[in-house]
Amino acid sequence: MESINGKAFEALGPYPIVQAAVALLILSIALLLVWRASRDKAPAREPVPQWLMMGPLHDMMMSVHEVAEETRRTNDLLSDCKDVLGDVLRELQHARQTLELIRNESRMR
Amino acid sequence: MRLEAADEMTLPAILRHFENRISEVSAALMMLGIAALLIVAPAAADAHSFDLIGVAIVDAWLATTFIAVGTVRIIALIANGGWPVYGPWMRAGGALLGALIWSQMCLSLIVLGSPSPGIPIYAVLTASELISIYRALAGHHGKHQR
Repeated sequence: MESINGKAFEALGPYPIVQAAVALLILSIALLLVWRASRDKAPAREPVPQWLMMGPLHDMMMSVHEVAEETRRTNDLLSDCKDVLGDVLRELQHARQTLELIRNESRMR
Repeated sequence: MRLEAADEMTLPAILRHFENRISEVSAALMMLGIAALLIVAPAAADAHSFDLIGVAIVDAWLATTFIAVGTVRIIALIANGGWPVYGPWMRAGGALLGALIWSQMCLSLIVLGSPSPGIPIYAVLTASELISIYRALAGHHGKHQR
């Protein structure tokens, strides 16, 4: 029995305790990292990184916003112009009818 | 992210696929390289760096073990993202086996061999594998693999 034990220990080599200690250390660190990894969440990947929104792209977006605002104001002004022109048209039609009436009156005389 | 059919074999496409997992790919390729070396030249198993591994794995199975671990890691890395449940755990398991192997090889050189440049190399590989375990599992939840 002792000879079998002796052979078994010889087969382990001269540094079984050191080897086992290193393997246990590695396993312990691995377990710690698995536990830590299960707690940590990977940051969600943003479709567009924030830094991309700085500098020229930001200026461009501001310009687009200003252009859109100006266009909205222009639309309001055009709408007002349309109303005024509508009023002018009505006045012109009224004036034309009046002139036609005057002309007809003068012919009848 | 899968390799696109149009550009699957170009270097940029391969690098884009593996992203920051290239260190794991390197470690897996090292294992396959060591296996090839052991098959072509079995005398390489007598190197000091394999002395302590011989306690756990007999020389005849050394190449097979390296091939098995390296292949599983490569498959897990190629299919990365395609197996959201098992892929990260396969990567972590491969990295753990890698860390154990590299650490034992490092220890072999420290206690048995003469001072060798392999000592810092195996030490850094061990640390890199341990970091890979964390990176493979951190918040994977099927989507956010790193």
